[in-house]
Amino acid sequence: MTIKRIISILDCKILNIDENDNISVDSVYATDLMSDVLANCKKGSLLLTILSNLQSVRAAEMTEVQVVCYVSGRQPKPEALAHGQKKKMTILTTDYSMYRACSLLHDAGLEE
Amino acid sequence: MSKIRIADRIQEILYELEVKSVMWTDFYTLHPHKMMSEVRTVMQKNRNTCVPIVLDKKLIGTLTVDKYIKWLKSHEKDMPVTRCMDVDQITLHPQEPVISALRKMSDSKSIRVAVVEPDTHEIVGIICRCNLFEDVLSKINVIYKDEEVRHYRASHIFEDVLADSVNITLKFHVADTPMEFGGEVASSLRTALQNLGLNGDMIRRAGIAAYEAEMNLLAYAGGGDFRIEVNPEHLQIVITDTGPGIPDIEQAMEPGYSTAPDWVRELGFGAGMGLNNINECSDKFEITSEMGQGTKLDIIIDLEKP
Ligand SMILES: Nc1ncnc2c1ncn2[C@@H]1O[C@H](COP(=O)(O)OP(=O)(O)OP(=O)(O)O)[C@@H](O)[C@H]1O
Ligand SMILES: [Mg+2]
Repeated sequence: MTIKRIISILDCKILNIDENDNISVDSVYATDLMSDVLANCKKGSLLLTILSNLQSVRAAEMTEVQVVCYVSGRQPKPEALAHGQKKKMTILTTDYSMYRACSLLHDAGLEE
Repeated sequence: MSKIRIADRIQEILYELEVKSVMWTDFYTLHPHKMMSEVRTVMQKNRNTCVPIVLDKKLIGTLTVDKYIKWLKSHEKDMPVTRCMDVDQITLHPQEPVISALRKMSDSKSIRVAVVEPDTHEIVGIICRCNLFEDVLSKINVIYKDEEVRHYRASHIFEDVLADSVNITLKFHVADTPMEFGGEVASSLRTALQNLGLNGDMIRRAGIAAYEAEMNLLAYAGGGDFRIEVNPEHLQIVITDTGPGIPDIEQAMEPGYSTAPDWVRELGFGAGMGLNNINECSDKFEITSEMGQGTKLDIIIDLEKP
């Protein structure tokens, strides 16, 4: 699914977007535990999380996730956003809760 | 690279290369309300042989130069472009391999084809047969150059250097910084391994293992040290600390077991999965610990042979 589509489904605010904005994700992983990201999140997924510290972006970097979306209107900490920009990640935020965000993406056909 | 390997690689690239990476994203379109009398400049620009007719980003038809000339010749009165458009044109998916695009275009004798996003039906690009080869060739050139660079790096270290053994050692110190800002060593290690030209899956595994270990150093041991060795056989990461030690290693390795205090949990850690993740990422993993002395992790990831 294209980033553009995800942004419109989740009504996201864009905090950083890779210049190559026709990138797409083929799966989604939702969690607030970083070891869970590291163990189970596939490369190239969209990561949904409420955890807004630097480690949310580090865990994405290690698993080679290019797109992170913070739920419940959470804003990433400045150091998290800065590291995401340095690693050319797309950083989004949505006002939807984790549950709503997951169900909307699921209805749109995105799988874990 | 030998000639056979180059030919194999080009064939692979044609299969791997996706339409989206060679399509044009800057193209002319026509609104369905446009009249035939208004399309001349668009048709003339870049000698367009056909132009997509698009409403709300969705492709509804194409106007070909043949149809345009036919209309000119017929001296018929002006009409909307939709009256002259073709609607049964083939389209391509952005994720489709270039080789299948080529096949479809030659089967249908199409010269220009629209690329349409399958889930939204939005038009995202155009592929033109006359330029496709040029685009593919320049892409192959880039990929080929990247590959040469990668090959150079690896061979520079492990093949070109004539020595009885070649061993690269990297050392990193993990200072006792707040865990919230940790992970820098794992990040630097990833970059270093990328620069050494190691294979992508190995880098991912090494990064995950290093990151879990680094976070444990900050959570439980007040920092520590990394020593990484890369040789033609494997990548070895040894992590030592002088922290409190682990009383029962078997228990610590169990998924779900954690002694993480609240301040660690608040940062998104403490699932009791870290050591297990390290084990999963390693081809060989050893952990030794002495109470009051510290802990040592020894991680080995085998180098994939080309
Ligand atoms: N370097 C270390 N020094 C002392 N104790 C450690 C060290 N590393 C791990 N431990 C102990 O082993 C337990 C399990 O570690 P592990 O990394 O598997 O999980 P965790 O750190 O508790 O949670 P997670 O890694 O999922 O965030 C820890 O809770 C801690 O008690
Ligand atoms: Mg841990």
